Amino acid sequence: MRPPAAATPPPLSRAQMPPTKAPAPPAPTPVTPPPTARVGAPSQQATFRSSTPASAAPSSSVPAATAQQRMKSVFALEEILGRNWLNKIGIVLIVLGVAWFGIKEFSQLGAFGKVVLSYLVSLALLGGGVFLERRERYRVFSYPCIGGGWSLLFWTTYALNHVAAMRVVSSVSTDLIFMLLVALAMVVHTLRYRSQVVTGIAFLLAYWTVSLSNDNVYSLTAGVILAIGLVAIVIKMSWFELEVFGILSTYANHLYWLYRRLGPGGAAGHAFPDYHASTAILLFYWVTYRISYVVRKTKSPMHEHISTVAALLNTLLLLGALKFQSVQPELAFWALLIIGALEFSMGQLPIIRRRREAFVVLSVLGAGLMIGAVPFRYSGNNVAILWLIGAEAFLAAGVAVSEVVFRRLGLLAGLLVGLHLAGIDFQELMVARRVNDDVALAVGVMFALCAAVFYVNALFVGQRWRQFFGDAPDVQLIYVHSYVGAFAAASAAWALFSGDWTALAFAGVMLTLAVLGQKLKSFHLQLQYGVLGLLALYRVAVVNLHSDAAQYTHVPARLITLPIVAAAFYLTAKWAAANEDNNQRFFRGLFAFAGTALITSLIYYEVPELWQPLAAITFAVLLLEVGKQIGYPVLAWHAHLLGALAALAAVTVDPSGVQRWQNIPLHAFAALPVVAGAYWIAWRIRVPNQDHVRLGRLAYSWAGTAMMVWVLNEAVPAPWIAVSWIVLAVALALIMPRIGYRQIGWQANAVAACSIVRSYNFNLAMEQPFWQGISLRLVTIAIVAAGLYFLSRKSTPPGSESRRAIAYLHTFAATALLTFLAWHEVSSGWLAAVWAVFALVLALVDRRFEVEDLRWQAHALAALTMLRSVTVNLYVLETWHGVSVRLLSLAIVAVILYALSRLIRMPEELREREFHHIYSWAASVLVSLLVWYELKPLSVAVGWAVFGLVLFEYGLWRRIRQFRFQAYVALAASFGRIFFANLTAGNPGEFWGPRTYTVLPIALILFFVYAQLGPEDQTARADRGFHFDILLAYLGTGTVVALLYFQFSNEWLVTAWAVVVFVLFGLALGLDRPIFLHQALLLTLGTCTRGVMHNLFGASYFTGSGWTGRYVVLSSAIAVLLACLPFAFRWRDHEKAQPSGNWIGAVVRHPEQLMFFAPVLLLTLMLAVKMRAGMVTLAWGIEALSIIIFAFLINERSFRLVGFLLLMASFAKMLLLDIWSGAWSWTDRYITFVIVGVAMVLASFLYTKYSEKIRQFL
Amino acid sequence: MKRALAFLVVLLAGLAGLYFSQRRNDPTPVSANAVVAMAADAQRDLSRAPMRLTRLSDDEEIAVGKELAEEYAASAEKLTPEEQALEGYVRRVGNSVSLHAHRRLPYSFHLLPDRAMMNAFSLPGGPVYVGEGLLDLMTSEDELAAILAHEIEHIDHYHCAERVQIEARLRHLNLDIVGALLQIPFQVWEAGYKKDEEFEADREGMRLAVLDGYSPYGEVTLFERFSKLHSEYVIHAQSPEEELSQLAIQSLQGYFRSHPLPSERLAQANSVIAQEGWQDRRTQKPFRVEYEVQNGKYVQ
Repeated sequence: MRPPAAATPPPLSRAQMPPTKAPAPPAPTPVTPPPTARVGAPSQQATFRSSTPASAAPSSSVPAATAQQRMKSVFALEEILGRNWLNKIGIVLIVLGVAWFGIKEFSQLGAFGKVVLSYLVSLALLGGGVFLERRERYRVFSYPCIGGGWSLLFWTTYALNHVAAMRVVSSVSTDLIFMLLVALAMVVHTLRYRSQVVTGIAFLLAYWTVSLSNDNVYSLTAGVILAIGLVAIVIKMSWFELEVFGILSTYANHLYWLYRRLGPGGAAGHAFPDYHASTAILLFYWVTYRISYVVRKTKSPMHEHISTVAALLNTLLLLGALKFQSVQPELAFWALLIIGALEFSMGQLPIIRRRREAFVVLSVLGAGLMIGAVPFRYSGNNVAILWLIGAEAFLAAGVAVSEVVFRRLGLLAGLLVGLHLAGIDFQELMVARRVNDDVALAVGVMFALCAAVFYVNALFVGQRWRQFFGDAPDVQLIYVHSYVGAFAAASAAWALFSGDWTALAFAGVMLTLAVLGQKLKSFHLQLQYGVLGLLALYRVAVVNLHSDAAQYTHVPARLITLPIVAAAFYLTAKWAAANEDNNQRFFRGLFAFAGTALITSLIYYEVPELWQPLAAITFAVLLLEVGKQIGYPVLAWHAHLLGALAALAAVTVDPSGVQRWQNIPLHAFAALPVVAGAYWIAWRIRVPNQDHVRLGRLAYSWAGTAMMVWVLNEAVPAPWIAVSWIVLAVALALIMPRIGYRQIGWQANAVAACSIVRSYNFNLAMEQPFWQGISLRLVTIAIVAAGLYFLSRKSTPPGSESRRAIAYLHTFAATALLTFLAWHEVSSGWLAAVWAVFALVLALVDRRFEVEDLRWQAHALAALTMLRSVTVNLYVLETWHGVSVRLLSLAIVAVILYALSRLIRMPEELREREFHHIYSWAASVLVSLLVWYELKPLSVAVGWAVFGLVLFEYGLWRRIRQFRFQAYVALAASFGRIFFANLTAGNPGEFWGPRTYTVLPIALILFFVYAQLGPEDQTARADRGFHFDILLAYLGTGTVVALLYFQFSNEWLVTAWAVVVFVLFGLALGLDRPIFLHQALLLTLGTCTRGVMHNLFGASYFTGSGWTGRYVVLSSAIAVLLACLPFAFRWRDHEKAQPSGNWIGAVVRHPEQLMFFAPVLLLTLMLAVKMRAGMVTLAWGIEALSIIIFAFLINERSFRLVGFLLLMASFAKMLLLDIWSGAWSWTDRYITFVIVGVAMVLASFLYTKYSEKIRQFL
Repeated sequence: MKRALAFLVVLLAGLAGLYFSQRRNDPTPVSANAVVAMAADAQRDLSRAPMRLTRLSDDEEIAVGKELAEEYAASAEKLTPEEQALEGYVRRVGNSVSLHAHRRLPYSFHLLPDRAMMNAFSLPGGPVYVGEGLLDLMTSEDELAAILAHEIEHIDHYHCAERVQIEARLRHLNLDIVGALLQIPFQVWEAGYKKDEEFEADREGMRLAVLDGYSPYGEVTLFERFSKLHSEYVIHAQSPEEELSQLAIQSLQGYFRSHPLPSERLAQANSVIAQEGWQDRRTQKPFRVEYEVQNGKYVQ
């Protein structure tokens, strides 16, 4: 944070021209600079203000940001990054690159030469910065140069003795004096600017460069000098942010030095020579920065927050460094304890108590370190006990002195104890339980005591001093204590009870907590005893059911414990609901249901199989009656469940019917009590909700009928089952009007449906004769059909709205039966024709007598006929009087289909929607199939295309759009066909062959038809509405693109497609057809994808030397794509007046974006893949700078952003990948650092120079 | 009027295409080759980036090849003296050709004594195997050099190594586990490679053979022989339903074995010869193995 200029005036020498006052800002800026700007130079904001046009200032009357304002804010971000950060990063890279050159380069220059060169670069940066700093516009740009110059100067001075490749001074002390002088000059000079940027860059870069070349412990003296200087500046200037980076740099420098000596694993207990010196230096750092923290005076909350970060970093980094160089791990306990105690003690000093945040930080840090120290010396129960003591001590102290920090420390330490109980002590209990099931008294008592302490905290302390625990997070923490208590109580129950009695213990705790929960109205206690109930149920399921015992044998323990636990659950249900809302009732219901489930389990395990339906239905009736008596209707639901289980038991018992009486299986009789019970419940059911009564009655009566159907299925001989069911259905239909219950009619329809299914599945397949050539199939199906026709008029309840639908279903079923009967009787080749004639007859009868059912049956038969023609008749080879049956039958079918398209009746709305053309579609399909059969494979696609062309012209001439639609389908099929026959036809290398002379006419036809669908043609308006014009245009271009795919070699395809893109752009502009622009954009994506996948990653590993290898092919494609940019800019200008739409519309209106980004992406990837690994980043940097310059030349902001992002990506790659890559030589490294750094500085310079000009374009 | 004229022109173009295609006597096989080729190209291209980014090192590849080659070591011990001489001949030609490969790998050349095997294949890291049946087809040493150079280029251009990567990925093999490679059947290596890879091996193999002084027409004469054999085995569909059934089968086969047709390979070979100006290098060395047998032992 920069202090206000008025509070700390600049030195006298600069008093006449303070940076913050020199330019008078003409207007306040509309854009609030982000925090980074505040860290920057004092004059930075003034710079923005002075260059912002006054007209751009927002009006206070406009509450919401306009699009222009949002653009401006984005621009502000780019400007800040471009002007403020690129130069800083660039300077850092240059300094590091020069430093690496000095350290690693041995062959080019001697030590003296490199020192001179390094000093020259330092002075150039320093001089350039000082020179530019005098001009207001370049002030922000100049500060990093000054800082970088000083840091390089300091490092070069350091290198005079400490860098082997640059050593020209042999005395350590002489060099130390030089470093002190340079550091002093650096402090004095950089403070003149009162800029954290200058000072920060100078110091931090000095740290970094020094860390590159540390060779012995004495080289760390440079770090000590920098740390002292930094703290002095921080205390004087209150630049606490700088101290944060200083701490990071100090410890990082030291850790890097340790890493180079000890490796990635650190000391790991092995002594090393500089251990004591290193420890002393680390403690010196800690003391220095801690003193800075204690004695500072903060003036704002932000100061305090930043100081907190510094305080935490200081201790954490110290501990990390000590751990890394740890030689005596056994001292960790004492180290943590002493440092923790010191931190806690400092936290109680009056100077700290006046700063609340500092008090909290140091107290918590100290307490945390002391608590964390315990496991380094103690283990087992001692840890939990010591932590519990500490927790209670903190809690008591917090309550006694009313200090929230201590109370929360106590509560959190209690949580730590809970975690220890769960993670350690409970694990030990589980291990003990795996061995045996004996009572674990010691552990059980411990858990019980812990449960008592935690419940005291939660239920007593929390209630007694309620004022301390009323707010978050204290209230949550105290609740958590109660959960820890519940966990401990459950663990104690498990430890102190074994076998069948554990479930009873859980149930007992559950019941106790239920009573307490009811008294305290505590949701948390409800949750806890709910979980305990689950535990009890789990225990019952695993242990008390004794499911491994022999079936239907009596187990005394089961007979005793299950009713007791069930009773506990029923009792808990009584106490469970705290009030009468739905949630609480549901909660109570769960416990009641658990009780019922336990009794049901008892029936399942104890009652013999054949008697279980009776027992279950009896229990169901009992529950129903008890529920009515005690006024708890929920039990009726339990009765329903038991009723369903009884039905299930009845139909599943003795499934193979082994046990019989007079050839009738006994399980049919076992179902009868259930039927009786069901009807009993249907009669007796009484609940408050009458809807439920009606629903229950309906369900139970349907269940009874279903059971009757099942009984008939079991008792009647197989061929006559369908007949018996239809008789039952007829009987039900006759009974319905007598008893007046409408559901009986629906049940008759359902039974009839069963009869239909049975007839189709069984009776149609029967072959046995019945009498004098009449088959049994004919007799039974005739009876069923007769019954269906009867039911179609009699089975529907009076006044039902479904009467017509039911009648339809029954007559359709009868007609279908007759149709299938014909299928069994008529020979294969003529069946389609017979069906077609049958359909025609039905249609004619309907047309004459208006019998609605028959019309739809005619449609269905016509569909069947078509299906039969396609699947069977196409493959019939027999002849009739020398004429192919296939030809004759298909001709009859085709003629009848065309006749039906004119004759058949259908609702007017369907005819208006041209549904009758389904028949003409079917005829066209048959014609297409004939074309396929008659022509050679190579000609089929062309034949379909010509057929489509003719259909299209006919449809256009007669204004019948369905013919045109059929034409589109034929053309699309033609397009698809070329992929299977035409594109691979001919000989390889043959340019004009069957491929070209069959595919090109198809493309021509497609484009011709597309051209007929222009906006001026009114006939084809509907076609355009369905976007057939777009489809045809895409198919035409797709044909050409596919042809090129097979005509050109794989390498050059990308260039060929790029040329097509160019042509499409020309067509789009010349014909004013956006569709070609869309295709061009899509093909651009395809070209780039192809280029990346095939030419970059799919290319050979070793074809770089050929002229088509490394760069030429892709470069040509990139060049052709970039050549489309003028077209793209013209299109953008052409579309400027169009309204804005979604993002796709935005892409189309701004094709120049894609046409720039796609080739640039291709170029970037080409550089990445084809360039030598060490030079990729450098190439990207140069590419980025070129893009930025190009963007400035044509004033295109998005292009500039791309260049900027690529520059940042180069930097990120360098930082994240290259530095860690073994393939990056030192030469590559320093060259890349310097070149990319220079590119960044130049880019930043351009941003600075043209900032006002850029604003004019917004 | 203009519209009617345009319609007539387009219709005539279509009819002309129809006429010429109907008059064409060469049968056109209906297959999904075009789609399969595009799909295979796309699949290959999609796999190339991961292949490049996770490429095996030379040492790993050599170790993999050694492990796979151990399975063939037993058959090598059963060679007759004549077959030993034949293998020596193959080895001599192979060693000579492999000197010009890009990568310095331990190339080795082996004979598979099976006269029904008209195939050759290579394993990662260097081993190359030639079937005796394929040698029976050859009439010149240049043809042998072409075949061996083709297989060397499969190794040289990482086709074998990438196949290991793909198979390991498909079969969920951990290459660090000894014996895991044995789960890759040898038919995988004998099945050939993707179309582009075969073309690349043909093209670069021809250059390799020419660098060693052999005639590029060795490859041409061999492909002419393959083309003749191929045409004898192709069956053309006579009806749409045959088309559809063959299409389904060919699609399935072709997807996994998208070998280029011999005619396509022949066309590329002639194209490379024309491009490099090698038309005058027609003279081929005879396929000649000299050996003697004395007391049941082979003598060179």
